[in-house]
Amino acid sequence: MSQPLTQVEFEALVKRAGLELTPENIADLYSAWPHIERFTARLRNPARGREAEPAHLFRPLNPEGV
Amino acid sequence: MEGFPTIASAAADLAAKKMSPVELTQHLLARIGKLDGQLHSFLLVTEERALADAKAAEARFMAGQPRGRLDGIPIAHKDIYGTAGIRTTGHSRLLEHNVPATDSTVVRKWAEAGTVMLGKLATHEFAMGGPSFDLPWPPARNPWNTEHFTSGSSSGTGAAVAAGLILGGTGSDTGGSIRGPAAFCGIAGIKPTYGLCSRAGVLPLTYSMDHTGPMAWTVEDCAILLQAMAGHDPTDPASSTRAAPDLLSGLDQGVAGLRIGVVRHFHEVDHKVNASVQKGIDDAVEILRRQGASIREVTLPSLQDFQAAGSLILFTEAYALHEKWLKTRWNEYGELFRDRVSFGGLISGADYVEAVRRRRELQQAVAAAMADVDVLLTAGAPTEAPKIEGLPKWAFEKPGFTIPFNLTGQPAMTICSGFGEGGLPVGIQLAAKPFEDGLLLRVCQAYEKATLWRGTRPAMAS
Repeated sequence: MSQPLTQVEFEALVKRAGLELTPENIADLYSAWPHIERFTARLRNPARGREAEPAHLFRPLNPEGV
Repeated sequence: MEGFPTIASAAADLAAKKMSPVELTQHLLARIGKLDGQLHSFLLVTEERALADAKAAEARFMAGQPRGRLDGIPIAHKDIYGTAGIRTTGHSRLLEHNVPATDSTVVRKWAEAGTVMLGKLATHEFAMGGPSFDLPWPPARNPWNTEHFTSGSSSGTGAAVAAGLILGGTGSDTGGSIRGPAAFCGIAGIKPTYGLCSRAGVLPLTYSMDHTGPMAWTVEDCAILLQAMAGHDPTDPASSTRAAPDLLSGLDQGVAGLRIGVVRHFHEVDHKVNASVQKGIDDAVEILRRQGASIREVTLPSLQDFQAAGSLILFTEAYALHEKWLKTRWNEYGELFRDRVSFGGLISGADYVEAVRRRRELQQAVAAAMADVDVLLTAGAPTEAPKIEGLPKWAFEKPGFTIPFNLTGQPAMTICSGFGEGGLPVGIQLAAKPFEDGLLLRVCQAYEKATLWRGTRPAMAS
């Protein structure tokens, strides 16, 4: 699991997203950010190989558009 | 008019000309006028439209040409369902004056079935995040105790059905927004299979997890409403091309020979429920067993895994939908929706991809676990409804019981399974395999018919 984001790093994420928040808004969101980090940490399955892309199959449309 | 008609009983009375659609509509409009000042379940009462619908239905009955069991039945729509010429706000300041030019597909289908539209119902802002006290309209209140929460986001539908202000209504469900209010308000609500009912014309929350569905007092009423909603819609890219199933003819076939899988670790380990909810589950198991179902225990991935993938997908897709306004109209949103969805702008692309890949693994795990069971049984909600004031802003600590089936897309239904301390209802949730919505309704019907819960309404509504 990666290191928890510092508040400075979190502010950089907010800025990159283009959200113009007050310091109070940022502090409030940052207080709940550990939950999001907990969620992201659960997603990665070490047993899942690089070739496992079951949810991202792309199928081109045929000439009829279906 | 005495008592509380259901859709099925009202349809029979209308067909027998024991009452008229206009009488039924006037009765409910009077109830709304009397009770909704305490409940706030309606954002808009469309009295003129309702009476016009009712008179048209009455004319069809008098001509001997009713359209079916929904003709003349008063309903209302969650205020994310687009209604032509009628304000559709998403319970948000941003759409306070939004008047669509066309009906959403479901609204059109129910209108074509002859329903009487009483109005537009409260929701959490854009179907997520409540209860909010900083929006142009207050949150709906629970009719079992108006100091308590309805859950959401189909909060107005839950409250209005339980209080007997409408006979049924629309809900939507991205993480549990039909089934949560069904549990807390003691009614029935089904999230159908993904793609069974059109989302076209409904304000979206996400691209891949939104479902439309009905809410009503009984399972049978939900089946009648869902039958009129289901079917392919070419204007919804997610709409299934399968023919709409017959949801009614097998409804009373019982559960003998069916296999029920109890996901015990959900409510005993992953998120321990209170004693009233536990009793409701244990009693349901015994009731279904006595009726001839075989009961076995099923193990799925932990609720926390479903919560992690579901939350990441929900926040990210909702942010993509709201990004422009979040950047330019931040202060017009309510705090709860705005702040939760904003996380979606901070989640990396890689995390979203991993969430979608994890979703597919979870879907495969549930499908494998259901290889030899027909229906799963879990809790509908962990407790009775809490007080509406003072709820924590961030409700991420404990995973919900409903989001697994938004991720898998399979049909899931919550029904009343008793009452806890203080007289507030509790609910169980059942889930079937994709496109086995009819089987799910059948199991829920068997349970409901074997219990007495449908005989009790909130005291304030009586």
